[in-house]
Amino acid sequence: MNTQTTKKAHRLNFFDLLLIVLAVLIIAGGAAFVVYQNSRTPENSTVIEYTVLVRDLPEEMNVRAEAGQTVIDTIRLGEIGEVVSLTMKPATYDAFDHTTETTLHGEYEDLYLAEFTFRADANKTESSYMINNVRVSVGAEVHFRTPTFIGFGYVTEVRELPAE
Amino acid sequence: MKTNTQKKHRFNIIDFALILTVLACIVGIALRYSLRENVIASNSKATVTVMVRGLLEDNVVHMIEGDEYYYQRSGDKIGTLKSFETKPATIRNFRHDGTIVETAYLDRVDVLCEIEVEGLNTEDGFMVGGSDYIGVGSDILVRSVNLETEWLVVDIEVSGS
Repeated sequence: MNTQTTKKAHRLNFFDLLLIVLAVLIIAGGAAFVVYQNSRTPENSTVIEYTVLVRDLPEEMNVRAEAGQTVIDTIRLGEIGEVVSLTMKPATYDAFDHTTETTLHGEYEDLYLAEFTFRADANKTESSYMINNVRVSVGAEVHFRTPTFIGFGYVTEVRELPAE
Repeated sequence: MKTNTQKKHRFNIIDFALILTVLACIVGIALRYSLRENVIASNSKATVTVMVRGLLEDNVVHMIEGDEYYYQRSGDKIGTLKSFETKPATIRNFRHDGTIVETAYLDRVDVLCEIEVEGLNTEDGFMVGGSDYIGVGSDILVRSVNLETEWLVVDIEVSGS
């Protein structure tokens, strides 16, 4: 005797629909939250100018910067301001003068320092300024790029601009 | 008597999830490779000047004009070596009085190379192959069929489409 078995095919029912709607709501909610977080003005928002010193650039290097260029943090890939100015100076060194037993401060002839000044909206916290989750304070190391330069250096100056 | 009933496949939640996943992949790929808002030129050429520091003089023979260079890590093509010039690599020494004197290595050279690259000139900078940023200051590990070395980008001149 043969028995006929029919397997019940799964039909899309109310609970499946509920799960789908729930999944879509969670995804949409998460996306909206991320967009909202990124667009939100920080509570202690202020405008700062900060200077980053990039050391020991060879004289062959054509370092350029234009005011208004966007500055991007190369680690977190977020915007960390716009270029205000660029100043080039000879790189310096300290060496011991054995003849006089003093420290000699000299300038290299073929190495330069680049001082980049950037302006950015920052969130002021108790311990530092934060720009797009990048901490900016004197001594902090910043890895950045502009459309015409990429490098890293240390923050040497931070100043708040007066509110307009 | 045996009866064969062919199972008719009904659309279910797993099918729906699979379709959603495939659609998401297609959208993701399209976004990754699609036109960017900030593209200025659709295809640009640039001459990138790079410095190779302290190359052993014996290895200069492996720098051949016309060689194609690739990123060491990804294997993507960067560009073609157009021309190069060498000068003795120098080392800085301190005299007894603390002043600097530069002396030349006996067997190493610094090489200044011109590389022809293609890519996209965007508001964020020049993108080799449309996706890899290259700018003055870039430090890149590269290789050709003849040589593996490191480049320091010292200049970029975009020449247009």
